[in-house]
Amino acid sequence: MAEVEVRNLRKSFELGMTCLGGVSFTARDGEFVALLGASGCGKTTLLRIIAGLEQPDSGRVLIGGREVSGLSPKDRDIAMVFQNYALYPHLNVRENIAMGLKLRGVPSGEIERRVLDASRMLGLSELLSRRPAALSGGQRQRVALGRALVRQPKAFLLDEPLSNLDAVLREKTRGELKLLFKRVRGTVIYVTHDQVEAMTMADRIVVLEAGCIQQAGSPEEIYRRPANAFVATFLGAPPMNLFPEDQAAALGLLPQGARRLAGIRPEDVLVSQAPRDGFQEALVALAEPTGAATILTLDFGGLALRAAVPGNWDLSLSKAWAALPGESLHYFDPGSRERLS
Amino acid sequence: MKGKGKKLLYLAAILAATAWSLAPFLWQLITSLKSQAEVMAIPPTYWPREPSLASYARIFTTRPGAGDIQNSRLDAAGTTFLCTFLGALAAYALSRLRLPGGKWALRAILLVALFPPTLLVVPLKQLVQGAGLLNNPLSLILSYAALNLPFAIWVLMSFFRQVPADIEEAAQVDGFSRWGLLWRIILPLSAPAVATTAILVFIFSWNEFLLALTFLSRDSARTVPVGIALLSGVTVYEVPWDQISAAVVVTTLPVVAMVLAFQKRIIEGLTAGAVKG
Repeated sequence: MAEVEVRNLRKSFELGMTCLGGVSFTARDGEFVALLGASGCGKTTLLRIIAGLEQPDSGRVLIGGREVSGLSPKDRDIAMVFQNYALYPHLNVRENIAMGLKLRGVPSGEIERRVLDASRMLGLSELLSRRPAALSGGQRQRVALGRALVRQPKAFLLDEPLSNLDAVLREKTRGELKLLFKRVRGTVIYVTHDQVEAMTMADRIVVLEAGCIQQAGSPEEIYRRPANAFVATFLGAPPMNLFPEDQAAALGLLPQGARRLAGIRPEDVLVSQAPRDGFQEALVALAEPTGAATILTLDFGGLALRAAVPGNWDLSLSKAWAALPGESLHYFDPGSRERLS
Repeated sequence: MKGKGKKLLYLAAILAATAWSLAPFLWQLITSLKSQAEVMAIPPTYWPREPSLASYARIFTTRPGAGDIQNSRLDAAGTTFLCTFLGALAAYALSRLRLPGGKWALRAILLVALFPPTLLVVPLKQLVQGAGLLNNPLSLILSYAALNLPFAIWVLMSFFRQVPADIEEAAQVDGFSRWGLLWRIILPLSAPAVATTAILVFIFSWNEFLLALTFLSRDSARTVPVGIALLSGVTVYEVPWDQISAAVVVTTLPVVAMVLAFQKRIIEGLTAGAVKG
């Protein structure tokens, strides 16, 4: 395994649309990095440039300290798992997994050993002679993973590998994948638009928006100290309550004369079913039970405020009392929308 | 009741269409089993009075019939291989590599296909003569391949375009070269198109008459369609219909057998991309 480093990658498409505007980051040896962003933010293009499937307009890609910018995908020693798995439909599972090794001239005994190891690890041993058409979505996904694992590449590149699975299987596979890559100590670059995947699996998250990195850091850091208003509202479900400067001032969240955006995460909002000191009365506009928690949408002095309360909240209540503790507030510059303090 | 009537009508229409299409072939078959005297008899007989295989025996003994078939087989097989091979390369390049001017090349290929081959006979003959290829099977193989290339390229291209780009990219990451990708991934996945192209090119070459008559004058190089046209009777005024029919049956059967064997694939190949699948 090796470190993957991208330096100042730029890419525009036809019609002058900028896709990547100078992206730099490093995935350290053995690190699981998630590239997180909404559709069209450039995360898949970034992954494809690392793989060598697309050429950047400028910038460099280094894998294991070696410049690979001019090399074709096969010479970069990376393995990739595609969103729709991209298995060879005319070959069986064994041949699909073994192909990359065969093409690299690995001796047949060694190929057999590695294919059996990988298929045992992924629970594919019984399916080796089946063709992809005879497999379920989850099984195909595991074959695609097997194909990547047997190669023992310098880095694994995964492009939304769980997005075609149903919710239950996705949740289960998420955990399995995390354990699997921990076990092989793989350097992983994982593209996803799903913040839960990024938060639960990654050692580090790189948040992208409009082809630029908004923040790179550990899941904890990104969630607790978002670098700007975009990251603050992009991560978290429901997202952070963000008040424009006039509303923040009206709520008394700002020091005298300060002009800031103020935000608070729904779980940091204090809510009481009875009047309490320092709490302000609010109307319950909507209560959405999710099981472990209930999401309230409150009419808080004329502003919509979302709050997460324990799941045993009394749904018949039409009123509640809420407070926004100062230590939980996040402040952002109203112009640059960057974090203040 | 209404549904049953409709079904019967449908069946009758299919039977009528089949009979209409098969009648000429059936007539050839019946004629091939008659004697020359019976073929010329008036009124004509619809069923041979004394069915015999004598005309079949004669085409192989009195004329170099087997030699003609061998020549046709060589020309058609050579053309099929060359045309499918070059067609696959061109179709892959035009469908996947972003070639400058690729669109124009495609239009030019379509334009070439619109020329009636008859127009090309004289210039082709001059070319073949200039290259010293008269009476050489290569003259036919090269001409047939050239005439069929536009068709091969268009059919194969429409199939190659349906192979998901992700599979090709996965193959590139796996370590395939462009050649390996074409031969081991794209072509096997496009087997119906390859089979369709190969068979239709084979049939064209097997049946072609005009160029074969023009380029090959030597008996030993002659192909089946020319051989059949040149069959003659005892006198110049006599046309040996019984032998001609026998020869037509003998040369048509292998093609019919081949098409039946690959029927499913040909239909897949011709209708691919017609509906969203």
